[in-house]
Amino acid sequence: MGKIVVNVDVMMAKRKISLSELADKVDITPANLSILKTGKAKAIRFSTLESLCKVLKCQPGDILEYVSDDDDADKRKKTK
Amino acid sequence: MKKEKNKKLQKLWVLYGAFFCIMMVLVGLFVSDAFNTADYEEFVQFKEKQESLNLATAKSTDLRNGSSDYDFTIPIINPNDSSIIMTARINEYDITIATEDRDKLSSPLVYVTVILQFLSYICLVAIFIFVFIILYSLYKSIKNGKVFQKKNILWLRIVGLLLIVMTLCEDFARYFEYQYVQQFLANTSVVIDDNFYLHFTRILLGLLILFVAELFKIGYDIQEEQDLTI
Repeated sequence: MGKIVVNVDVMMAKRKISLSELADKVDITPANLSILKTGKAKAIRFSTLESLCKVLKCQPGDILEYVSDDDDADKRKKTK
Repeated sequence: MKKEKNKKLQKLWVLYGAFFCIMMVLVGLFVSDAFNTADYEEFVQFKEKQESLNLATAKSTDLRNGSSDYDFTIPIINPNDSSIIMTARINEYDITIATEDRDKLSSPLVYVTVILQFLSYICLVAIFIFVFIILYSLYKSIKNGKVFQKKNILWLRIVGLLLIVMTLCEDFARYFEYQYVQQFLANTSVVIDDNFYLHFTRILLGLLILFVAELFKIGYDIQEEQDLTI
């Protein structure tokens, strides 16, 4: 089936920005940003994505990534 | 927003009050029935009067066909005005079976009937308790701003199922009871309707409650999706 992986944490590390600082700049609560970061979120609004891209100076593709089941299995094998 | 919430809570309070009143009336009726012997005394007086007047002329009653044959009617005489002709037809029997030989009375049907009746009473009590819990839980949920909750869905489902189970138990208990009595009534002039009847309205109500529970489940999913949309 595959899944969408949220790479906000990667972009945050690249831009060296903390969770609370990003939440403050994007104007969402740290709790919601944490939900997004941990992959528990079910959907993301265009407005939120737009703000994230603006603050992190990146493209939506840098934040969201599609991972198919095969890719997931390969990654697991490699880590083993 | 707050006004709407208060309105919803007020409606729930009305429902809660109505349900409480109905339950109190039911309990009151049950208690008064259990301790009231006036009905029985009235029945004895009626029976004596009928016997003294030799009016009980009913030879047999065919309830299944609902026949209005003269044989099936009891004349009622008004002593003040003999021009009025009144007749009564028996549509309910209160049959008592007694014998010194207890083995004659024992039958698996009796045990099944008693168990089913007991089960239906338990279901009824559980339904009352669960409806109280659901109404209170809904009140709390609306107050907290989260109407659709997993426990509410679960309790609604339980109430729906209990209602269906209770109805089935009661109907089967009645059916088995009639089957049992039918054995003793064979070759007598009394015929009883021993067909199986289902209380469709109650079953329908149970299904409706299950349907509402499913709606709650859909609401819960939508609410969860809404909450997890960032």
